[in-house]
Parts: sequence; structure tokens; C-alpha cells
Amino acid sequence: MLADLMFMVSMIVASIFLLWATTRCMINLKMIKLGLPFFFSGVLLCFSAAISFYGIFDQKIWFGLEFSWTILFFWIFVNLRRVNGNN
Amino acid sequence: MEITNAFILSSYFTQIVIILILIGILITEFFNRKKGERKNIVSFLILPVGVAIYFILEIYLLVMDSVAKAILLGNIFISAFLVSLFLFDALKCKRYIPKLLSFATVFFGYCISINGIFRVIYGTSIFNLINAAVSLFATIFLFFTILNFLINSSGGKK
Repeated sequence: MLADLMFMVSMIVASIFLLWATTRCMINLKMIKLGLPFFFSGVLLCFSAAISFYGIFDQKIWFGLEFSWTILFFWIFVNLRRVNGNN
Repeated sequence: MEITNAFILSSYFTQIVIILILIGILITEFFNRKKGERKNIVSFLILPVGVAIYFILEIYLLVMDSVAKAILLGNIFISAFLVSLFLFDALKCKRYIPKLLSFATVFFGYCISINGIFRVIYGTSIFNLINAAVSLFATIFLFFTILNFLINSSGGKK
């Protein structure tokens, strides 16, 4: 119970920080496209926090979450290669 | 708790966090901008506050497992009013906002209102799920529309 609560609070704090920092960066640097995967990471963290509150990490939800993380990491990877050059 | 209900509640929870971030960003931008630019920011600030009230009512309905007709009807009027307000704001600042984003927000916003009518008539079983999904899209589009407005309208810091 305590572990669930700690996980949930840390996820919420992480997601709020990530969303806030990404949005400030997007406004100050005037670049929305590069910040998009980080924004969706924040949304996914928020979803994880809310789902952990109900304690129903069954297989379908787990598959969905991990698949979304894979897509997001590839998105960030492609962005990194595009910005720094394909070397 | 069922998976469907958990998905709906987590969707509303995520949307409340996004809306709170949006309110914070708008308030900080309000204090950073010159006096002439502040008027438009205030008109956009009313929107997320209304959206937050809408989601709090929805969460109340779900958590209490209630089908109170007054709240369901109230939510239809709140969503329709908010979309009209957004349309008014978007037309006022149309040179700062991409057309496609604002059209998408208005479309999903009216989908919420129409879905609300079905919820009153046929009950709340499947339409709650549709409502959660559609409102998630609407909130994300609203977020990026306002972000685009903030980026395009900034003429320089104070």
C-alpha cells in the first residue's frame, strides 16, 4: 500500500515537472515539434500514476503502456538524429 | 474496479493535470507580457478554468457512481458554452492560431456536447468511454492551440 502510494506520488510529481518544463521550453525556444514526445511522455506518466492508484496493472494495460513508451523513445531517437545529423 | 472505469477516471485525471499546467503557463505569461498583449491572454484564461470545472463534475459523477440528470444536463451546457467561447476567442485572434488546430478543437468540443445528449437519453454505459476519449483529444488540441497562440503573439518580453 505504502509502495503504491510512493510510486503514485513520484509519478505525479515527475509528470507535472516534465509537462511544465517541456511547455516552457516550447514557448521560449518557439519549437513545438521537438517537444512533442516529451509532452506525451508526461501524459503517459500521468496515466501510469492514475492506473497504479486502482492497482490493476493487468496484461492489456501493461502491453499498451510499454508499446507507447517504445514509440516515444523511437520518436525521440529520430528527432535526435534529425537535429544532430545522421552520423 | 473495472478496466473501463479506470481508463475513464485516469483520462479525466490526466486532463485535469494538463489543464492545471495550461493555467499556470497562462498566468506566468500574463505577468511576462507587455500591457497591450495581456487582454487576449485573460480571454483565453477563462477557458481552462471552465474546462477544469467540467472535469471535476465528471469525476464526481463517476466516483459517486451517479447518473444525476441535473449534472449531465449542466455538463452539456457547460461544454457548449466553452466551445462557443473558444470559437469567439479563436476568431478574435485568428492571425495567431493555425486554422486546422482550432477547427479540430471546435469539432471535438461539439462532439462532447452531442455525446452528452446521448448520455442523457440512453444512459451512461458506453457513452462515458466515448466522452473520455473525445475530451482527451479536445483537451490536447486546446493545449496546443493556446501554445501556438502564446508563441505567435509574443512580441518580446516586458
